Amino acid sequence: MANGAEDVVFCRGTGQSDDSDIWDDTALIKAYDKAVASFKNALKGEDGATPQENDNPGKKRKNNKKNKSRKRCNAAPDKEWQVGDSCYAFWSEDGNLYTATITSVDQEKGTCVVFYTDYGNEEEQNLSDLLTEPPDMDEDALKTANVKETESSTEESDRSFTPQKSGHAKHKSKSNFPMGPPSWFPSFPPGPPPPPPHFKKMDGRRGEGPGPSFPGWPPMIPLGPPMIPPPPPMSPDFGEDDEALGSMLISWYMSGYHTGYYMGLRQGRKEAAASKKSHRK
Amino acid sequence: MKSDAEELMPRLLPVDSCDTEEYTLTEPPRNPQEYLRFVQREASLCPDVVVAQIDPKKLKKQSVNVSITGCLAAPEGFSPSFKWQQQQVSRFSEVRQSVNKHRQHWKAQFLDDNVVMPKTEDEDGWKRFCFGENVCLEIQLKEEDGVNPGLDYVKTGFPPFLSIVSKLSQSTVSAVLEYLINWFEERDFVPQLGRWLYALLACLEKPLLPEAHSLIRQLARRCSAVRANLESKDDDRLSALNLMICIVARYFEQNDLADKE
Repeated sequence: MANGAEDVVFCRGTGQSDDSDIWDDTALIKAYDKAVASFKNALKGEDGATPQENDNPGKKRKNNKKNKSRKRCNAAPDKEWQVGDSCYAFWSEDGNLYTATITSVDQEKGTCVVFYTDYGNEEEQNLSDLLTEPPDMDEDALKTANVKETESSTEESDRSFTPQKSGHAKHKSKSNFPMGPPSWFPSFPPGPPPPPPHFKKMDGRRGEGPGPSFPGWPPMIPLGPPMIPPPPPMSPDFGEDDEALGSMLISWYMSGYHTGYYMGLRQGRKEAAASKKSHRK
Repeated sequence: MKSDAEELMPRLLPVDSCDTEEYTLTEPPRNPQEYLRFVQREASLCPDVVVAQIDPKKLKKQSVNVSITGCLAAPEGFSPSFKWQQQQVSRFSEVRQSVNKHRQHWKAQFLDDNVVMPKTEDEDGWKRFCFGENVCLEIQLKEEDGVNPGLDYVKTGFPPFLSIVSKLSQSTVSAVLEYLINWFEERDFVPQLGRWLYALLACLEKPLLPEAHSLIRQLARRCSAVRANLESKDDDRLSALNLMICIVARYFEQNDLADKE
């Protein structure tokens, strides 16, 4: 129709408008005649149906789904650490991950001293063991890291001290091993060494401290530099659990006791009222 | 029906169904249970549908008896296939789109001097315009036809040219459609009628007015009646009649009038 219209416009310019009008004017009539004739064709032959069937089947769409798996890479271990950087480090005592800040770096040895932000104590760590972000590791991997961390910390303690001081360290570690000797050692060198008798007194106080006053939390040393003791051991936790269970059972028992007491009072009043009535009658 | 009704509606008053017919209908019920069983029996005897027999003699006012029926079923072999109907509907839709597309162009065209369109209210004028004087006056002058070899639209009727049809307004289309259908009700189907009906349906705009719906339904019923009276498949009118029924039923959504294969 569009082509026909264009032709008509072109022909009109030449002056054959009558013929073009008549030719295109009959579009409706031709459509009608075509429609009427198609029914006769449909009645005559069944061959017309076959090509339609061929045209019917359409092309099947192929769904090509691309699965892109993104691999997450952990922080590069070759990162250069500087004093004042924030990081995550495994504490040698329990192998847990804590936030820390670097206070000094030794590039030659590949070690540094980290200050645990949440707990306030310091420890010497290998630069390769520090982490920029806490990784999402499996339990097995975590255990493996713990084991490695323990070994590395032992080596560090052996290397970092002079023979005389190392001797003292060995002696102290033997006596105060459960109290966390690695956390105490880094703080000793910066301060001046005290005289022997005073040192012995401090040692005695430490021995006395944990027993009577705080079963799971040793007291802070006023004379020496401030330090936070390690987290409590397992036995106090177990005791606390028992205490919780005991208090729960006691509360159950007491609620039963109070209920029984109330019921008894009520019954007693009823009996008294009944006896009075019977006595009057 | 009763079983369905019992299942659908909740039972407000459970009464055991009376299997035995020990109770006689003549005696009055002696207890409430008997009464309820009487009610059940009478209800089961009533038919679901009751039609009243009206005596025409007793009617005071004269009422119009309108018997509206659907399209007559096509004789065997006369009805078109569903695929053919779908093709016709799609082509008809394309024709309508083309007409709307080129309406402005054809409106601007001037008609020849011999083309004088009647007024909308002039029913006889439109009949003469569409069918020609020969068909209207039922004059058969073979001699004159031989004498005049050229086209004389005044006598043979004007075909539905686009330049003519494009100038019709919707009210005129509806009016002319009514005139042609009324003419068709009393007379036979002629080729000019088929062309004009096709053209008018192509120009009829959707959505239709209720009057237009009534007109096209009337047309479809008339076409089916004429088709039922045809003698053979080879009749030239069969295609046109099927086409009209198909357009009305399939395109204008009068599906109750459609042909069933």
